[in-house]
Amino acid sequence: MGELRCAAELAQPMSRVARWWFAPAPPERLAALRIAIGGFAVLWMIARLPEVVSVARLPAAVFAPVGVIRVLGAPLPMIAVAAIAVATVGLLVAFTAGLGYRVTAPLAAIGLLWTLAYRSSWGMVFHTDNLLVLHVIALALAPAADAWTIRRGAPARAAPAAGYGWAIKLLAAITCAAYLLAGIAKLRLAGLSWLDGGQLRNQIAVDNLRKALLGGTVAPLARFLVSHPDGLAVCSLLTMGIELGAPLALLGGRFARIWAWGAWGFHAGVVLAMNVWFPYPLAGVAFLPLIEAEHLVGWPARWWRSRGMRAARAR
Amino acid sequence: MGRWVATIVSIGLVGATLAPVLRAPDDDGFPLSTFPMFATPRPAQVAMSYARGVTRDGRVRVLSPDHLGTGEVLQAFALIQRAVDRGESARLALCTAIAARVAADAADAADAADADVVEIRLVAGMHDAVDYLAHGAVGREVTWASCDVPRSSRSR
Repeated sequence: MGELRCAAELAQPMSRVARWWFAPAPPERLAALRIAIGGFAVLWMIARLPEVVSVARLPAAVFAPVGVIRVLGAPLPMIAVAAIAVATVGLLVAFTAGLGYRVTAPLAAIGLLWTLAYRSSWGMVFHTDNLLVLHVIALALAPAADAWTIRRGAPARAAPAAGYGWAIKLLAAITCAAYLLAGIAKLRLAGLSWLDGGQLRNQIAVDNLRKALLGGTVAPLARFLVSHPDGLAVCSLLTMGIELGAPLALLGGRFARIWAWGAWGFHAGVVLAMNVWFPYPLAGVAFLPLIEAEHLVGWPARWWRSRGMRAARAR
Repeated sequence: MGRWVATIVSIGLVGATLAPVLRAPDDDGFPLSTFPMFATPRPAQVAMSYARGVTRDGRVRVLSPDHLGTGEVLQAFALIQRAVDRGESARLALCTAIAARVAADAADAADAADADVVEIRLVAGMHDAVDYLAHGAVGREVTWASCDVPRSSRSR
């Protein structure tokens, strides 16, 4: 009897978590995320193509494989790197459009993972790419092409038993996990001393010194912040609050919106202080899983339709 | 897709994303990262290596990351540190590769910013980053390697 009650007490919170994780969401919301994240990935890959080709020309001695690239003993020929990257762009276009999704989506995710890991295999891991790759992998494993695809005349698919809400929660949880890990890394590597502002001042100074000596652009506020460090302790506290407080965004609603704006503001601050750009969160795409993305992503289509209707009425 | 599959995918991906917390915080990876950027304590005193262009009349030029074969400052930084760590021949090889790119730039456009650069130097500098940025105070510099920009392909 006691064991039964114990099992029932344990099952209750689990079922509450399951109800929250699997809360229903419209297929259009997940489709909107596919379009926004896939569209960003297409543009990002096109923008990175020259650099991907350029690093493929570097001497083999500087090849330092990370992640999946560790399967390689030596760099690939430049033509192979370029071919994989170009094929990945094509696959990502199909992914975004929802074309042949069950085949193109996993291939697009693998291509993106491979190409961006290859880019990071020359002595410098680009943290700008991690979240984008993880989101594309998650979308590739989800039923994200049940709405808003260009498959004209295709019969409507029956909704999957698990629904669509879990995949949106998964994308949001990955975003929050990445920020949480960044906060934990600061505590593990620097401890609470990271909060006094002195560490942040040195980070800003050292990062901008590198840029000045290596031909980069010094951030617009760097010299001011390094010369007037009084407010940096507050910036350190805010940074740590946003990173360690990321899981609160999973509560949704106002919590999610406030956190997303805070995280966006943090990235804008990093641009002003260090000229370090994280385009995925700065474009807001990384935070879309936290809001009702279909309203934002569907807005251009709605505007186009209403424009057409107004024109028809005028005639 | 059934709930069991969705549950396995969810636990697998969230678990994988969080798994780096079990590694040493500076044991980075891709795409599963500990996100250690800006987390390591840094002293303001910095010793680092970089490349310089020197013009015919002795003026010193900052070179762009493109001369290292990358568009990214941090990747350029990593390439130089690695060559410096590998010893004299690697330093000279990098110096020569930079000189060839500078020469190619000058041959492509006579008005290129580095068209009057005649020598490349790989330099080790010791700077106080705060003083450098706030007051423009340059620290000590020592030359690791130097090489001439090949003149035959250069426009004059």
